[in-house]
Amino acid sequence: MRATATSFNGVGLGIYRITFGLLLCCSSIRFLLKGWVYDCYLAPNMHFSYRYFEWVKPFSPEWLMYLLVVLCALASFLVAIGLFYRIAIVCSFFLFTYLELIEKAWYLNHYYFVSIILLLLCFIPADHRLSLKSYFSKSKARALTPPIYANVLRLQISLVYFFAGLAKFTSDWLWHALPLKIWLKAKVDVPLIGWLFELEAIAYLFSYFGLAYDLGIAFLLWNKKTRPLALLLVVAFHVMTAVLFNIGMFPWIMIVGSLIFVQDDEWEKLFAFFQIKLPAPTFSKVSKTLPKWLLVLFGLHFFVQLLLPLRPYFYNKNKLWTERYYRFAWNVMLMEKAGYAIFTIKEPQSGKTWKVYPNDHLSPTQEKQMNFQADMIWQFAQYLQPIYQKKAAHPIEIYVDAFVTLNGRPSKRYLPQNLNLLQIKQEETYDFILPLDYTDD
Amino acid sequence: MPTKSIFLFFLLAIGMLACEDVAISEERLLEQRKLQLTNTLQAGILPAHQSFLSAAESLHQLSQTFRTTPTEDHLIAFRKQWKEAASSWKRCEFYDLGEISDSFIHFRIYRRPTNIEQLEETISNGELIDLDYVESQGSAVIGLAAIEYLLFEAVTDTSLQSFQADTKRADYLLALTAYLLDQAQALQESWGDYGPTFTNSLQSSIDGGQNLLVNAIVSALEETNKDAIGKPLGEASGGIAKLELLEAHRSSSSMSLIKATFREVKASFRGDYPNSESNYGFDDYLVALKNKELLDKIDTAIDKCEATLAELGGPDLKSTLATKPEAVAQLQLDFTALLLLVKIDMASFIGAIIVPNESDGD
Repeated sequence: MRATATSFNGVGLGIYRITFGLLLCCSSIRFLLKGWVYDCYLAPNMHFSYRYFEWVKPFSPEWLMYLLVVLCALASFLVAIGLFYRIAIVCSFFLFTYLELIEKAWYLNHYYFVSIILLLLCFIPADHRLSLKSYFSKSKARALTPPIYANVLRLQISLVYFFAGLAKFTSDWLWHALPLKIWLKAKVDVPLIGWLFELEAIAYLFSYFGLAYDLGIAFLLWNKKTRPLALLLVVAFHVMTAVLFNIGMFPWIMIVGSLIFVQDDEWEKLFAFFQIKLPAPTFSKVSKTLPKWLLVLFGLHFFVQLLLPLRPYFYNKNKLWTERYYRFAWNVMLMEKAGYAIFTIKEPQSGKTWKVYPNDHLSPTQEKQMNFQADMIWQFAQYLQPIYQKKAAHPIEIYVDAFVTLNGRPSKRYLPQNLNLLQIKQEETYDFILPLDYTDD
Repeated sequence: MPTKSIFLFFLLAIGMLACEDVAISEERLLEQRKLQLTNTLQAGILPAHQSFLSAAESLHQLSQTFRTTPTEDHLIAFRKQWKEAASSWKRCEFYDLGEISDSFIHFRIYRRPTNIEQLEETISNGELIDLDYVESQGSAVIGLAAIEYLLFEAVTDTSLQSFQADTKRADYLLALTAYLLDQAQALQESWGDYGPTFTNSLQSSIDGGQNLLVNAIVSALEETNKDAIGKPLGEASGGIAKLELLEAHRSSSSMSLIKATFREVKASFRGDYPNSESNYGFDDYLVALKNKELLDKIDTAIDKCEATLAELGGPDLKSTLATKPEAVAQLQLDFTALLLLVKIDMASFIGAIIVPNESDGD
């Protein structure tokens, strides 16, 4: 299962670096072309910051944000071709993560995944093979990176799949095939196979296949015997998700991710089969060990990677409803959720009231996400506070009328109507979320 | 072993499919969507636009008569026809969908409020006031809102005198109605062209016909709640009522317009347009998706809105707002209840996209 020093020559790492770098470069260009720099960073009046990262803000003037995305694309491209790799990968990590941290409403699991992979690659010299650096390098004095580096990436991807599978152990997913039952029925227009999605059995089939896939695919990828089948499954599964759902780069990032599981000797055989001659290695030997500090660092990283996805299980009765610690836990495509929220500002001493419709202040994506996420509802109230305090002579109070529907259930009030959002802390908002079976009557 | 497991999994799956008891041949969801969109176009959209075109023609005829003989009787008839046209327009305004919306033609027909200062300036600056002159103006000084301002700006006598004293004013009004008629014709032709595309937009993406209709209901209810009711109620002014913010307050037709909008919301949900053959609407689609519970809730909410509207009477909201603001607030609550059910419960259940995706999802 594990690559040995003799079978390892860095080709797999090189291929992963190239494909991942190119994908990230395309992703950044796509972000620019779709106008998302404006939509995400420049258009909104306020940004929903991540906790502890409130200091991360978009830069001004506006062109600087465009420049940063261009630089991110450029750095990713340099990573792909293996030129100035160390600088490029560090720049990629900081730029991508900075851009990701600005706006919580745009959180996506695969953005987080990309940040993690970039962070790991900062410590992995993946440019020893199939890079411009190795092409131009005359010296053979350096040692090749140890095989454990590839295993670090494999382990990270395995954790993503495994926790994504674990997250599917919800009654909605298992017993009701939700949200797939809803999503697939909306997709009856898909050519050729669309009619199948009217069948509820298909939703159950997809649900259980998805669950089995997430839980098992990493094991199949690690195992040499099952790897070819696993790779076919990866491609089939993710292409299907790309056809059915609007999930952007995610399927392609995971397909590329599976390539890291292919061992170097398998790559060599594959290239030989297609009569492709690889450039000769420019290293003299394969190193077997990692520096201790790096081992500790990787150890710490994976400890955190185990903790974060487990957090929601300790704090929630229903994580889909409350979403406490829902982010950074590989809760992928688990629910169909929508909400509606209107804010009321009261000045008790004068009796004045104002009503605030979020779409007067937020972008469509921000509003959509805020409507059903308690922490963002709280953040929006904090944003409104100084605006309306100026209009009032006395201290104001802010209340929300929020309703949320989850996986096709009838919508329910989400937070108490009489909860003054200015009197509680962000984390406390979760404690006030009304139960899913709550009724106003 | 894993290969065998996967094979067994698929075998089981095929078994499940074979057991499924669904008559998919006759009740395909895609066909139901087609039925709904066809009904909406044939029984709802096209007749609405034909009716508005007729109203715009009558308006222009009365405008010509008034230009020739600006009498009080003609002014009264002209005003009455404006109310007819505005009410008729509300049916069309609901269908600001797809390519029609992209053309911004609705802005040219009715953009509120009209910019009074700019309008007066446009009239006084005009040397030759005709159709070309109006055509070259921005949407803030043309269309139904501008006509309303000119027709209803003051009590009858003063208004009549202003037309008699200032021919430019009468010329501008005539040109406005001529331009409105042009736009009504253009809009009807646009629907003739876009109609087949609309009924064939069976996809679930944001430009799918059903999605466009859900969003039309949501927009109509949101705008009514926020602009037509909320702002006059004083929601943006610390609770102090602002009667001048009522829609079409000069013509005292705010309530009529709210009612006209709601009638279209109801008709598009139930598909029960006059002369409709199939009456296919979202109600039938929800039945096809086996969610009678949600359908009953929406039906109840629609009935509640209708009852409250009937209680409030009409045609103007001004007096009710001044005397019974709580009754108006109740109407807003009823609209909100309906909005909630359509915007989040129904949209979520049928997989409709309310917000254009600015990003991917996972």
